[in-house]
Amino acid sequence: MSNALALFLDSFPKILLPGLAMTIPLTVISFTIALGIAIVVAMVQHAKLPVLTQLCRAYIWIFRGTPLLVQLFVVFYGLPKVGVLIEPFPAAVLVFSLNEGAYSAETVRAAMEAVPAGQFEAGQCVGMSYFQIMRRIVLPQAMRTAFPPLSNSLIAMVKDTSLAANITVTEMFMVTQRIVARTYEPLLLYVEVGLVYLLFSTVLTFVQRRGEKRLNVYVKKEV
Amino acid sequence: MLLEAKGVCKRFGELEVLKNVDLAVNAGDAAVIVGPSGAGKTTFLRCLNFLETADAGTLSFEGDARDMRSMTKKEIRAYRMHTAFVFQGFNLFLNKTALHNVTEGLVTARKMHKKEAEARGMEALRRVGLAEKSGHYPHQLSGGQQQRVAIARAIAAEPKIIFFDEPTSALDPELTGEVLGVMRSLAEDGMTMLIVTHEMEFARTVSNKLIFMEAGEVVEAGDTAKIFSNPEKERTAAFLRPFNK
Repeated sequence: MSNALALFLDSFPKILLPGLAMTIPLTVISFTIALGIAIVVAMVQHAKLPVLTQLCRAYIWIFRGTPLLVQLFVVFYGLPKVGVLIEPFPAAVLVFSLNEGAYSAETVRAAMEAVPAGQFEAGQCVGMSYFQIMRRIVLPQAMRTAFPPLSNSLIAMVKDTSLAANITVTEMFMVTQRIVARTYEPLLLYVEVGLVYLLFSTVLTFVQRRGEKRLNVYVKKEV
Repeated sequence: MLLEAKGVCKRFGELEVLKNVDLAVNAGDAAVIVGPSGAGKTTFLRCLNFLETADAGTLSFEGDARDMRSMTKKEIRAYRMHTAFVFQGFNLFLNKTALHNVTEGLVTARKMHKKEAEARGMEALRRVGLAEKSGHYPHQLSGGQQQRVAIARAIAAEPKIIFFDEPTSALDPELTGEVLGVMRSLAEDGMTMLIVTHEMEFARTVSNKLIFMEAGEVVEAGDTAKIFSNPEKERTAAFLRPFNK
C-alpha cells in the first residue's frame, strides 16, 4: 500500500506538469480560436449573407457530423499523403478549433436569435450601423446568454484534449500511458490522471460561476 | 413643410395594410394618428422611419423628395440622424444603463466625444425627470421610467422630428400620466412630434393636427380642434363621439 502511495505521489508532478504545459495551452489556444470562428460563423448566418451562409452550414455539417478522433487522424496522418505536413501541436490546435468552432457557432447563433428584435431596431433608430449594433448591443447580450453553454464546451474540451495523445502530442494522458507502460499500475495511474482532469474542471466551474455573476448585472433576477 | 409622405402602400402577403396613405407634418406640429386597432397606424409610422420598407410611396424631408423603395442604407442612416423613434415596448438597450442608453447613439453614430455625450445625456435625463436614475439598468426601472429614458434618448440627439408608436400602450394608467406629461411639455417647447396613440384626451388637448385612419386609409386629416368639434366624415364622428364631452 505504501508502494502505491509512493508511486501516486511520485507520478503526480509528472502528470500535472504536461497538464499545465500542454493540456491547458492546447485548450486555451484552441478555444480562443474556436470562439472567434463561432462568432464570425454565427454573424454570417444571422445576417443571412448569400453563399457564405451555405458555406458556414456545410462547415458545421462536416465538423459536427464526423468524430473528433477521425478529424485528428485525417489532419495528422492523412494530409501528409498530399504533401501537407503539420507538427502534432499545431495539428491538434487546428482540429480542436475547427471542431469546437462548429459547435459553438450554433450556441452563439441561438443566443443572438434570443436577443429581442427591438434591440436591433432601437439601434437603427439612433443611427447606428449594422456592425455598431452587433458589436455594442446584440453580441454582448448574446454572449451573456451563451456563457453557460460555452463554459460547458470549454470543460468538455479540456477532457477531449486527451485524444491528442493519438497524434503524438505529449499531453497528460500520453505521459500517463508511458508511466503505466513502465510501472504496470493502470488502475492507480488512470484514476490519478482522471483526478487531475477533475481538478482542472473544478477550477473552470468555479471561474464560470464568478463570470456569470459579473455578466448578470443587467439581467433581471428571477423571483 | 418638414415631412411629407405621399401614396404610401404596404402589404403583408395577402393583407393590404396601407392603401395610398398621405401625410404632411410642419415643423413644430404635434400631430397624432388615431384610429381603431388594425388601421395600419403603427405600420405607417414604421414605414416613415424605414423599420418597414414601403411597397410604394414618396417621402420628402425638408423638401428633399425620395422614392421610399429606392433609398440606400446610407441615405436611410443619414435621414435617421434627424429623426428619433419611441417604441411601444421602450426597447431600451438592456446591457446599458439609463445614461448610456441616451449616449450610445451620440457616441457611436454621431462620433460625439464621450464627455460631451454624457453631459448632454444627463441634461436629457434631467429633462424627463430621471437624472438620479442615470446609473440604473432598464430592469431596475418601472415601465414609465423606462419610457421616459427612451424619450430622453430620443431628444438627446436633437432630432427634427420624433415618432412615437403608442408610447403608453404598454403602461398601466398610473404610469401613463408621467409619460404623457413629458410629451406634453415637449409639445409646449415646440418639438415636432408624430404620435400614434389611443389616448384620445391627450390627442385632443395636446395635438394641433389629427389624422384619423381606418383599414389602411386616411379617413380624415386636419386641425385637431376642428375635427373634434366638427368632423366632415360620418365615420370620424362615430369614432370620436365617445371622447367628445
